Amino acid sequence: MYFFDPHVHMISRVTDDYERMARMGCVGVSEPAFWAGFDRGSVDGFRDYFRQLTEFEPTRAGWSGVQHFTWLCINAKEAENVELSREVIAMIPEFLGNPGVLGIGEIGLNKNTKNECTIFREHVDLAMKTNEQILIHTPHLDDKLKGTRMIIDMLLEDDRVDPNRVLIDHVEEHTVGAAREEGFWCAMTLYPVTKCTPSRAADIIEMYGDDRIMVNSAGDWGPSNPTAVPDFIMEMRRRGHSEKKIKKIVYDNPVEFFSGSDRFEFTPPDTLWETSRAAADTD
Amino acid sequence: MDSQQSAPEVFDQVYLDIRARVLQVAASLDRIDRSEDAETVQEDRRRSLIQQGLELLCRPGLNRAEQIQVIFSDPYQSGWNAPEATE
Repeated sequence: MYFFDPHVHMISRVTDDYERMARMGCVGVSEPAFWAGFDRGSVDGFRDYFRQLTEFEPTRAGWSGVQHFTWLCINAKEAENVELSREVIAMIPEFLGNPGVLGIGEIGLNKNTKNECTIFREHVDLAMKTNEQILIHTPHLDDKLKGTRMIIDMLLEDDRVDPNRVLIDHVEEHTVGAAREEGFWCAMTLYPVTKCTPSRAADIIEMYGDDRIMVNSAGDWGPSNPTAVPDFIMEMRRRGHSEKKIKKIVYDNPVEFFSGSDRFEFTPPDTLWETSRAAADTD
Repeated sequence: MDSQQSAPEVFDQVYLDIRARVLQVAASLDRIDRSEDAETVQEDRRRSLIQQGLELLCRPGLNRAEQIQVIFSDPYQSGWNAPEATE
């Protein structure tokens, strides 16, 4: 089955991971901007990072036949530095016209601080002024319930925000309901210890349905598995769910949400060969 | 609820997994309790949270996973962003 990993930090993964993902059916990834493992010291550090996300990563993904898309922001972990955050937010529009940039993300909260809230609201303002979609990071562990509710509160403060153009990520049993009730898209991250297991993600699908929801591996610096989405597919099959239902979650829903961006120029895998041939014929 | 399997089918599928995880929890708690200064852990807030989670598991009803998530969560205060609250 073809699948789309809608949130995976490939910059922290080796090229072999792209290859393994492609062999297991991955045809597309979306990579939100995030923490580099250390706090960056200047706006130029972010400018170079955004070049990597918009120039080199799509090329590297293409070596395995995977189509790569991205989101731009300064992440919540670095938002405590308000001055640097504002410089980065002012610089982001330099990249918003680049192919494959789907919007602003992953913005959100980390420790639910006042500075994080300030920078979150300023990112949302940028997204509204530039008509971009938003991808949201919700906090980890003890901070998640409070932080997710705070994020939803801040989004509802702004009349310009269309919930259908916002994806709230890393939802779990105690946060999925609030996000869905307000009409936002949701995603579950499949992490071995600190987020959802494939089994719990399947439970949430059985309880909340398959509309406006997707699963991702978020593969990053910590313990994570870039082929976690196929693990979810196997769990759903083991439970007797239909291929149509599984495909909706791992392929159709991400494609539908990302289609809200004009720069989502995705070639479906069934036509990829014909498209490549047509391009070659015109060369 | 969109489950494709009956309860006995699900139970057959998950029984060994649950058994293994219960054993792992038991062994982990034993390991803490047989280590030096075990009594200090009894004062640790996180040990109390685990105890609350274990007690919740023994109660009947649905949504145990959601309730356990709430036990391990910081409290949320609605209205935190009201103008008078942020001044």
